Amino acid sequence: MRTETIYQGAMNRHRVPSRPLVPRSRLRPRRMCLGLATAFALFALGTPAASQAQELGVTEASALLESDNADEVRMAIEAMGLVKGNRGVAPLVARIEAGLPTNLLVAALMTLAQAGQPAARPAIEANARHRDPEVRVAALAAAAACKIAGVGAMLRRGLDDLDPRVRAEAARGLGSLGPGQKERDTSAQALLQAIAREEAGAAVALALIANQEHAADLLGLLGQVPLPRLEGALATLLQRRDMALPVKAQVVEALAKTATPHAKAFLLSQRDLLKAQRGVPKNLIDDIEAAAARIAE
Amino acid sequence: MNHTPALKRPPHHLATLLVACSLVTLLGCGGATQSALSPVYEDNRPEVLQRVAQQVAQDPTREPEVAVVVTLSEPGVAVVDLSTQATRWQKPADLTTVPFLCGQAVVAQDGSDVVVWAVEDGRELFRKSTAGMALVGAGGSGDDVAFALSSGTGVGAESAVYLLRKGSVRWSHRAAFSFGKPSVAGGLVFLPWANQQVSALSVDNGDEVARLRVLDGVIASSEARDGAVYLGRDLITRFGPEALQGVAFQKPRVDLPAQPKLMLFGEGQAEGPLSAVLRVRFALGFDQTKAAAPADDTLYFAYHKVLFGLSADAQLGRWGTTFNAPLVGIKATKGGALVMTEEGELLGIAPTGARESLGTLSLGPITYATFGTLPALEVSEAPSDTVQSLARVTAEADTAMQPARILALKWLADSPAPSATEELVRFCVDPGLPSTLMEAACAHLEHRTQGAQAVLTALEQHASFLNEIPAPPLKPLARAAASLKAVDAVPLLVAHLEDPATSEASLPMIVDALGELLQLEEAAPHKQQGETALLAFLDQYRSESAESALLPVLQSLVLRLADLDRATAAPALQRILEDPFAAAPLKGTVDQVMSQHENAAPGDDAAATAGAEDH
Repeated sequence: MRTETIYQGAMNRHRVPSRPLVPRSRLRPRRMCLGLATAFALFALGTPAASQAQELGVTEASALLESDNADEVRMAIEAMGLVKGNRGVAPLVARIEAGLPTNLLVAALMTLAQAGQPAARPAIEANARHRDPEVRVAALAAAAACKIAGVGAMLRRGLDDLDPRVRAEAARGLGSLGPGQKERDTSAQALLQAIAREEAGAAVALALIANQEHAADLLGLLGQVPLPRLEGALATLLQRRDMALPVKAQVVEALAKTATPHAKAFLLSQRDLLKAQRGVPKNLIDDIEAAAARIAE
Repeated sequence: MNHTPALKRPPHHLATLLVACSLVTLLGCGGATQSALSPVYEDNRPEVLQRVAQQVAQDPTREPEVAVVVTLSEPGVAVVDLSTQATRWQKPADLTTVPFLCGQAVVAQDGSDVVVWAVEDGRELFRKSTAGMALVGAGGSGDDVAFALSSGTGVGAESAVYLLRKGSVRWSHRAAFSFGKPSVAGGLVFLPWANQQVSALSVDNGDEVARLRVLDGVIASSEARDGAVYLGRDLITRFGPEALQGVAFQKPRVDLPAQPKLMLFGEGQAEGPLSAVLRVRFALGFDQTKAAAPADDTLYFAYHKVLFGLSADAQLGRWGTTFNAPLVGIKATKGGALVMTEEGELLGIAPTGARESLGTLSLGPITYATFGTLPALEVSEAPSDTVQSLARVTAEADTAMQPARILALKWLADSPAPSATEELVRFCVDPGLPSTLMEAACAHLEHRTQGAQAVLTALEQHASFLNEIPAPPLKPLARAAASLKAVDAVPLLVAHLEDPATSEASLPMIVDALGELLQLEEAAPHKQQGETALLAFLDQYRSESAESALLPVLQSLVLRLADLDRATAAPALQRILEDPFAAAPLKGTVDQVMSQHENAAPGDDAAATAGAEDH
């Protein structure tokens, strides 16, 4: 779901202004055919004969990708995004490798992100260091979604980028790889560094991949980093089902020690959230309540 | 060697002399002799000037080994022994001019009076109202003191000169033109006047015994040193026949902050002790073997708390040194200079820049110091290294010293040494430095011919958000790499070409530097890597729109690739032509390059054929 949201946002940002296609009189026969085929393909996608339409879509969209009209190429990229499986990946990768203007390149990378296929790796790697930050954002989103080989290193490098949008995407990506990712300690270290540099999103990402040790590192930042900047991360630690109960107890205890009204309000909001969830141990909720009670109004 | 026009004048006629005598009477020139300072006088007589110069050499100025200082905490004047740093005496005074050490006396303007104190014990030997004029300057030798007063510097200025012996007026002259700062040597007072004339007046009766007229520059001040009398303002010449030949030391034609004059004083009222003019100044000793040349071929230039040692023409900065406090006094002689800081510290400075503290006065802050005969200066410290000393001045944290820091940087850049390149790189990449200095360092860096290693090391750095490292200044570094023919910079430049943190503004320089370096034979090991990177860059961004900031870079890259291996570049250029999204201006550049290739090819072939036939 998250990937789709990014995709939609990026697509909107990079949408080519709507303009009429080349006048009919100037269309060459091949392009006319492509235009008709596309119209048909897009129509077919909405019909009950979906599989047949998709089959047609891949073929026709692949041909349309070769168009020298930006609108048609965009349509083709969007059509590829609706294709299930990895059949749309190879044509898109080939098209990216052949060269695209920046806006279409972003769209193509986001489509690859949506497809989530590791086969997209060459196109993603080639653009992870593109000069346009939006291309880098799209490439990192695609790298994380496709979980390509070397994604951790690519995302950690993104965390060091001078553009805040790229860093935010890199942090999101590292978080999305979860606690099972390779080189987790290296990623956690980079995220801790990013938190120290006040990179928004790094704390939540760290909480998403943290083990007990990393969680302790995060808690060590309480008092150094304002609580509002760590709330998301602490909430993530409390809500992660795979996080050991003693770690959650440490989070609660650390918050109680800050003894601020803000911490109290935060603890009570977490209690309410966890109460609404199934399977949350009662003693955790009790601990939270007790900690909140220790903090004076 | 220029002859002054004065020598070409026809002899004076009797009628002229009669008119002149009348003019003297009309102007009211008074005093002991009517003939002194007359508008008409047979000046510039070589044999007379020679005789006077010999007289001075035989009876040089006699001054004690003391410093006269102006104190701040108890406003006044004090005399200190240079050898022991013991205070001889201290007097309260409301000094409106600096004090002048004149033989065995100290002369200054105290409020509206001219006051003379004995160096020995501070006794007040003389006090007289300036009567609406101001003290211009004073000089002396032994018990003789000459001081000049003027009401201004322009036409119609009233002036007076007094000769005192042991505090009593021996004679005086008045005139309706401006006087400069006088000096005393060889039993004569040397009085500059009307900006061009210098009269030698007998200390005994004020008679004018010789006159020098200099047309090459303004003569405002005179100073008797080491058996000679030096005169000038923006030039310095020695009183003697050689001055007629135009022999003079000219003020260096170098753009220096505040543009100080070579000689101080002599233009209207002498500066007050706190005048900024006294904080930015030259100092030089004189080479007695030459008519007018700095001793040790060294010109000292003080800028507040920085002292530079320059070559005599000031084209070369040999060293720079910074003090804890501004310099309030400096006197140079053969073998070095003596300086005093505002904190009262006395230091000996060798012509090599080595320095040695001689002690600190216990008089509190000092605003001005002038010195008599200097003690022998023995500095044990090792000579200053040009690059290191100028780099230290450049790095000086005091922003008020910025003009001196820029100057130090300029002279540092004049050094071809690799260590100078290293320092320039350091300043060019130092974000803590004021931007003017950083930019100047970067600009100097672009023309280096030695010291590639420092440039390579700087190019290894890349911007990092996490480590708080900014991108290095790639424009000057890339240019420097090309200027240094540093072929090992190719992989480093490629890395920056591929780094998205590299600014668009730096890319053309990187492309140009790579283009230049890759054409060098020594670059052969890096040729493939460099060309591949350039082609990859072109391929990756060839679809950029016509509005893209990258377009000029891509165009420049196309032109550069044309200079390299045509066969390698051709497919990439063809891809641009076939790319429907490539911008028209980029395609235009490719077309231009390809048509040049086509036109050049037959000629090349013909040349190649001709070459083959020759063999």
